[in-house]
Amino acid sequence: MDAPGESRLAAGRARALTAKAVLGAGAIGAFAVFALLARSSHASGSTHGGSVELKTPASFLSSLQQGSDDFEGGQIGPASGPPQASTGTS
Amino acid sequence: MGCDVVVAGAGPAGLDAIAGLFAERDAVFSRFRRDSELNRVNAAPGEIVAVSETFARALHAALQAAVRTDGLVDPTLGRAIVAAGYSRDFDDLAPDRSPAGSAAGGRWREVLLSGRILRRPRGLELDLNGVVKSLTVDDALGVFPGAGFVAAGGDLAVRGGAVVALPGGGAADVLRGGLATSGTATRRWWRGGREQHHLIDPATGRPASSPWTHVTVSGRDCLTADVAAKAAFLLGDDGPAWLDARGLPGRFVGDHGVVLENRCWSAALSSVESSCT
Repeated sequence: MDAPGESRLAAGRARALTAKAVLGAGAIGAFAVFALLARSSHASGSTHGGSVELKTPASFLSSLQQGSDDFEGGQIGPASGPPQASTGTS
Repeated sequence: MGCDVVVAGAGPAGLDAIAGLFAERDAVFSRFRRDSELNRVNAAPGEIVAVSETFARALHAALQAAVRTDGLVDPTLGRAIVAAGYSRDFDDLAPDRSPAGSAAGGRWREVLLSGRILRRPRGLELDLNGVVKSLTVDDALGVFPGAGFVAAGGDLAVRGGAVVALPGGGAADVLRGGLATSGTATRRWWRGGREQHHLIDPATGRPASSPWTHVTVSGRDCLTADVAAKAAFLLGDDGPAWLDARGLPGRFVGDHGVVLENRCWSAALSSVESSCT
């Protein structure tokens, strides 16, 4: 028959072992969750095996739209004399 | 920028400032200078790059051009123009038997600019030369006061009026704003037994097919005219109507020298008061 001190020691060891197992499993689980989150949110990450297209916020594109005035023509007319300049090809 | 710059109306100090402006822009945006900011940005490994104010302004103008033309004028065709064979200074290009390639365009929606911070996908190569020259012409006109004009390789900004010779013959008085011509008459080269040019169709990533050799557009400023001329060239037969729908005078020269004016151009040059819209 074990002494009461040894019994308490064995029970403590068992609790420590259980706690280690729980902490280990928790750490592995947390690592897996964070790894998946990082992979899905990182710009260079891949979710479909190919490259991920960067999506520019719609607000940026609409700011470009708003900031760009509509096209507006210049003012031209019939030539009033000999040419001073030429428009070639850009 | 591989073209002559003609200035009228500026004094010696203004001319010096304009020469400096063009030299500075060339140093920033040249595809053929290893140390240009454009090449450094394209070579940067990360997705996020800090750029200069000059670079950011031109990129913003280029992205606005993409929005206004629904992506016809696309600043993300850097790889496509190289794939077509325009990989060195035009004067150094020699016929090359290897076939021309293509590279996907249409990725301008993936570019984000916030102040001077640029974010773009890795591997995407910008080419801002679709807007830089005309933007610089507009800026150069702002260097000096009074009447005058600045012309650089087909792009022209005018204050106070100037008579301008047009492709295919004829002339027009540019009273205000800018005039720009886009086309394939110059900057052509041979690659893989086929003639190539610098106006890339973003839909194919290859030099565009168009019935026009020259498209000339009058715009509020040179940048507007230049962007619209490129878009109208790429639109082919739909170019004249596209310009009319936006109130922009346009003049088109076809393969055999046939000249077509859109409704706005004809109205502007007509002695009879008329409107194009």
